[in-house]
Amino acid sequence: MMVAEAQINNNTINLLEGWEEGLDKAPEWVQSFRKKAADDVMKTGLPTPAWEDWKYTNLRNLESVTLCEASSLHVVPNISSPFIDLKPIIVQLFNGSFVGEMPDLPDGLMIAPINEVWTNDWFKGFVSSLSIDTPMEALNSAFLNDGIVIKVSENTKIAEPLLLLSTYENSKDMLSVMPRIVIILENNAELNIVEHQSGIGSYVCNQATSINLGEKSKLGHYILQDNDRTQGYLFNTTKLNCYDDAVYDGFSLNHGAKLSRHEIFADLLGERIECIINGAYNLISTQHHDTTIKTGHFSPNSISKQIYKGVINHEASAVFQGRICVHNDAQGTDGHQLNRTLLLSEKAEFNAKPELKIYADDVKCSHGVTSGDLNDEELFYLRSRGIPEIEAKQILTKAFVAEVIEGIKDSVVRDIFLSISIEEGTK
Amino acid sequence: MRAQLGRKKESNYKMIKIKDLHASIDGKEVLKGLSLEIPKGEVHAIMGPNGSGKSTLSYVLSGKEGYEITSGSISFDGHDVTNMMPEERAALGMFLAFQYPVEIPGVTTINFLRTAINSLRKARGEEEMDAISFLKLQKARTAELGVTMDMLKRGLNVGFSGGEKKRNEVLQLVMLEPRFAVLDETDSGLDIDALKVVSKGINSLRSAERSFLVITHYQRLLDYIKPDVVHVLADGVIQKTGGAELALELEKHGYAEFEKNQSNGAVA
Amino acid sequence: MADKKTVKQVADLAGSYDAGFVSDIEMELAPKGLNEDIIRLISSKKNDPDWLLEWRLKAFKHWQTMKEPEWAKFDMPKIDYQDIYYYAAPKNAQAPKSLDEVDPQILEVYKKLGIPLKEQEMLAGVAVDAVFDSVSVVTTFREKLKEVGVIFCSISEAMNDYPELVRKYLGSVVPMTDNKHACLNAAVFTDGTFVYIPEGVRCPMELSTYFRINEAKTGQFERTLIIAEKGSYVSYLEGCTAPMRDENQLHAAVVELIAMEDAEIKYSTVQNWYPGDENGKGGIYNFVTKRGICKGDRAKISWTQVETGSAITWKYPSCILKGDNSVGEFYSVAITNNYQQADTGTKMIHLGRNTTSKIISKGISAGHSNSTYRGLVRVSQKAKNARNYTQCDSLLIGEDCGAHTIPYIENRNMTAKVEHEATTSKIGEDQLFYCRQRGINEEEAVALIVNGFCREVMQHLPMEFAVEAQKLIGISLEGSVG
Repeated sequence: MMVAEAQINNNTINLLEGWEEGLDKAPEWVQSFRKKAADDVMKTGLPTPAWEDWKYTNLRNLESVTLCEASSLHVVPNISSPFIDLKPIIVQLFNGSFVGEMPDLPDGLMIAPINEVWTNDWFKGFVSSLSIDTPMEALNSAFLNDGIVIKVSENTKIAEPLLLLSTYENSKDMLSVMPRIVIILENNAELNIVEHQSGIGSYVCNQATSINLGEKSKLGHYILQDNDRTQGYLFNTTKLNCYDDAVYDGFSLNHGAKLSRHEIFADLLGERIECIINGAYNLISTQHHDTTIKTGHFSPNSISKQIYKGVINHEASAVFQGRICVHNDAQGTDGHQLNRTLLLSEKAEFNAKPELKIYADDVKCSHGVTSGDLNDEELFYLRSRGIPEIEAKQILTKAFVAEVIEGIKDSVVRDIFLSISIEEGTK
Repeated sequence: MRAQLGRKKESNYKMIKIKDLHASIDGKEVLKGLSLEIPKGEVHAIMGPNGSGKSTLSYVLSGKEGYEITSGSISFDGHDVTNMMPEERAALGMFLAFQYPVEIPGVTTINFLRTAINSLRKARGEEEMDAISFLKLQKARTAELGVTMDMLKRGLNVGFSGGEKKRNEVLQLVMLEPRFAVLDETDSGLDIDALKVVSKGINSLRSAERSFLVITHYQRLLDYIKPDVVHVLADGVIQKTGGAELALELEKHGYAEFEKNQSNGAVA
Repeated sequence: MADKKTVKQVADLAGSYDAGFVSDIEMELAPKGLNEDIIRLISSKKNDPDWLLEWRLKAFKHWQTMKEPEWAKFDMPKIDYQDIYYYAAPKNAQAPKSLDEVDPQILEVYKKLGIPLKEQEMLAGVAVDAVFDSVSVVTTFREKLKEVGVIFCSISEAMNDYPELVRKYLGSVVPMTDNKHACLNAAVFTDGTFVYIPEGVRCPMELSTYFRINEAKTGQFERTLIIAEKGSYVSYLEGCTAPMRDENQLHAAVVELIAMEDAEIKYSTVQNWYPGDENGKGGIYNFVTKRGICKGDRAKISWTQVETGSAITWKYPSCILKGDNSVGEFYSVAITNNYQQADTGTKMIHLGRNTTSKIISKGISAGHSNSTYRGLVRVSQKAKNARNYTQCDSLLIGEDCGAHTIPYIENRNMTAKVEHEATTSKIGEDQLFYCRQRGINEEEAVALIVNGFCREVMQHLPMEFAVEAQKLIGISLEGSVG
């Protein structure tokens, strides 16, 4: 492919390497979709801290990675996840591709690898209609091939939760995977998904998740991201379109990867939507995590809530950026955002940019950010009751994170997350 | 006795005349042809079940936006106020003690009172009240009602208890000295001691020149503020009118009789 | 509904800018435009010492290489820097010795603005420095202040009388290259105010400067420098007005504050530059760089501002908290109506231990205007036990305006506590009805509620100006509700 050399920066070339592979086997619309996306990446390059939205996350280290060929070897890893207690429908992805057997699916639930359904009009219609707002999305789009589609038919409530196990494993050079997860809930459909992402070794995973919630549909979307904490770059970009009366209950617990960024675009296009995007992060060593959420209220009377809690240890750093934008027509909006971060070490670092952009007058919007260490008085109280300092700190840290986990609507999922965070909190 | 007195006064000058009033909110008719007259110097009570239109009546009387008068009229002291703005009615001397007074952060009660008094004076072409006279008046009135300086210095109704809010309403009533006051469920949320204080304040204002409309769900308040006439409001119209004894009757038998009317849509 | 009426009613506002008159005073103007010669001319007019001319020329050179700032994406025509007068002075204003020597017409202008300089000299305990277009025309109370060692004069006088002080501190807080507008100011500034409070002195009265742009197509580039030595205290207020004109006028000022150990500087602004008409035509571009440094331990700098004017405002009065236990405060009310755009906020840079900062910002938007809070709280690794509390509240009046909150929070110290809260709301229909039922008309009710909304900030204004500011809030919102 011919590109003006001057426009390309090194890391872009690295990550784009091999994007044309299998291009000729894809349907025509996918070919042009991918070409355009690759073109976008080449035009802009990867973000740098000079970009307003990337002020606090630096991808400099990605420049030096050497990528290996995407492995065609499809291993089916052993299933290991605390969420198997849910007795879920299990679907496995390995290095971004669907592996193993497709389980028996209840009526109204369709799950398929992307490259098996991409000739369908509904798939094309949805995916090609999505705007591409970031280089990470463009990069993912340039590779559109791996990943799966999950679709629930109109008026169908799926009782069993779906467990999506996503594993990355690599022992040699840096591996790059670009999976796409498409979740479509038709009108009045309901589903709970637990996504467990785990990776070992060095990799760059750049996942894009595209979600469409039809009228009166309900999606519970819970993510556990517990990749190897010393290696790996993880980018998750979630695009969420909601229509009238849809409910999104989202939670993610991030404690993996050397550098991770979860960027969420929630567009509340209909009325009376309830959109909850909560999460927690627990970082150690030199980990860096960035959560960036952009919520757009386009129609009246919807509710959006975000609560994020973070614990930063050692030399780790975290970023929280949240923007609630209430457009002109969105009267009666109720939008709230709260971020609270604990800094537990002298070298821990926290940066936040919570934004409100309001263009409608009949709204209730607020945001709050706090950061600091544990409350001295609480700590003293516990110690005065005979609890040693280290233990007292662990108890308070766990309680701090537990507060947000307790907001998860599904009680079983909630309990599993609680047990995980407790384990993490003691590290 | 009082009821007798009331009837005797019927030929007297009517302070308030409400004629065949139809009013609706969000396209739903709430008042369905309500007629009511209150002579000068009398205290009338309106009792009625929930949803009968009591609060709507108080809002329509004071000109709240969103309540549409589809037909009928309201006149106060010879002025047709049906389409007047709230502040114009207030300037004429009409007052509403709110059931749920709003909170206005940062605006101290004392500053609010002064602004209100001077707005009324300005509208009436009178001189503004100077600071010293105002403070004198305020001191005298607050002492009677047990309103503390601390309350006056806080944001209007911000962080006030239910009782404090009601006392604040009555404080404004006694300071603004209207000629006609609507008391909308002034007893709700009050304990017995507060009720006594509030009633005392209201009773101190009773005079031959001033009329009251007391809106209440319970008879209790009427033990303290004795009405001349009691009306029963149900289904958007006055169903029955009588003396103070009517309130006692209602206390005993409830509103079932009228609610039946309500569900049948019948008009007494 | 109040909302619907807003659009229509907003049209009535134009006539209500009280300070919008033009005064016919004979002026001396340098030719329009900007080049080295103009800077040399300004420099010679001001009798600059050599080092200052060098400084100006260096700034100009650098300025030419700088891009227009882009952080706030405003709807703004490009500024034609060659279509501006950089020097305009009243002809008779050559350093008057006392008020009696001041052109009576200028005194009349200030009287119209509600600042009768003569009376103030006689009665009130407020010392005033009046800056007319580019030049300081009069400073009152000078002698009395001198008795306690306080220097209060125009910066051009200070340049001659106290060259060492000026040279030491000019540009020390806002470097000449800080941003494009500050850089332009460094090149062409013509006057401003200089205040020096000696060690241990509590300035016995409020000091204030009134800025007035009178001449058409004139830029105003004043510079204020306030130095508070060890253990001293000063409260300073600036007020600003300009006539109503169709074209946009540029105001690019620089303010530098230096507070030494245990010193306190309280700096208040009531900004009422002409905001443009109801269609957004005309008005001042108010691009101001204000920054203070708490150099010594326990120093305190407090900014209070009431911003109601200007077509566009960019202003971020900031504090560098270098001394241990030093304190920075920012209290702000910004009101925009019609097509005004205000982008204002602060930066609190915590460097010392136990430093604390507090930010209270109240933004009110009406008409088609946009109001933005943009602020930075940075806690450096050494700022042990630093504390910040930030509260940003926005109020929207009508459905065509916007309110935005963009805070940046950077915490690099675990013992620091940083708290930020923001809310957006509107004036409740119930609140309006309640006031009106008590006889207060809608417009007054809005002013009352908005003043209540701003109370936390207004409380920090010096008494003398709080009443004025309260009225200003009412005036600037006129016509914003039906």
